[in-house]
Amino acid sequence: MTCRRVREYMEAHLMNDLHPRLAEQLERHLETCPSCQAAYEELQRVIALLRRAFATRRQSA
Amino acid sequence: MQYSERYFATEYAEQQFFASLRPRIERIVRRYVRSGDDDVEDLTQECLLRVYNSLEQLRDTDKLDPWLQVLVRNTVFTWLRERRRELEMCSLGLEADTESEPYASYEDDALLYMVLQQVLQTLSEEDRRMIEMRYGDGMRYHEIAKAMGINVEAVRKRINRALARLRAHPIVRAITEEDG
Repeated sequence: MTCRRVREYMEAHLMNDLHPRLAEQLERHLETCPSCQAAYEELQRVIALLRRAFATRRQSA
Repeated sequence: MQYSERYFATEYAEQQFFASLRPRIERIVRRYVRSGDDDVEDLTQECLLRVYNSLEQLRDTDKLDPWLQVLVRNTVFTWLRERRRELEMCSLGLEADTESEPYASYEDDALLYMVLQQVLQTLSEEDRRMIEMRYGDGMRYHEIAKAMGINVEAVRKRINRALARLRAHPIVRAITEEDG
């Protein structure tokens, strides 16, 4: 899988919304590509931030 | 040695330094606050005061810019927290109690949500709805596609595009860099 494809599918992978075959290819790519690994971790932090904020909204609603 | 002796050869140099800081601080404040010029001016003044009182903690003058960004961000977040608290107290007909316990994690998260609301306003209404369905309601691509009446691939692309915009926003960058 190329870096471009990995970047496209990162979000789906982080949200467990990616086909298992693609997920496996993405994980293999991440093991060998520090640049995509860094982008993946950054996206993970952004998504965690959004989920945390929306969870708060639910609690206070 | 006083910081003023360490950093500035003359009183005039010190005045020049603080005068040059004002517009830099104001630019950083405006990244976070859009409520009005009075608030921006107050916050800029508060930040200048904090710089004046804590400049001696800055060991490496080459790191003035990142140090300044953290100082301004912390000042703005404290201000947002206090403002929210005052609003809550006013709605209850009470005065804010400045001596009570610091905010707990849940309340910090509520502040975070309030700050993120401002960030989400930079997206279109449809993109905001999708982001909320995805991260607020935990919906999958095909569920969002059905709700929005568009295909799954379009949902995936739009969510990725909206996320890229959110990731580039200075507030999100500041918070996630701090977490990372």
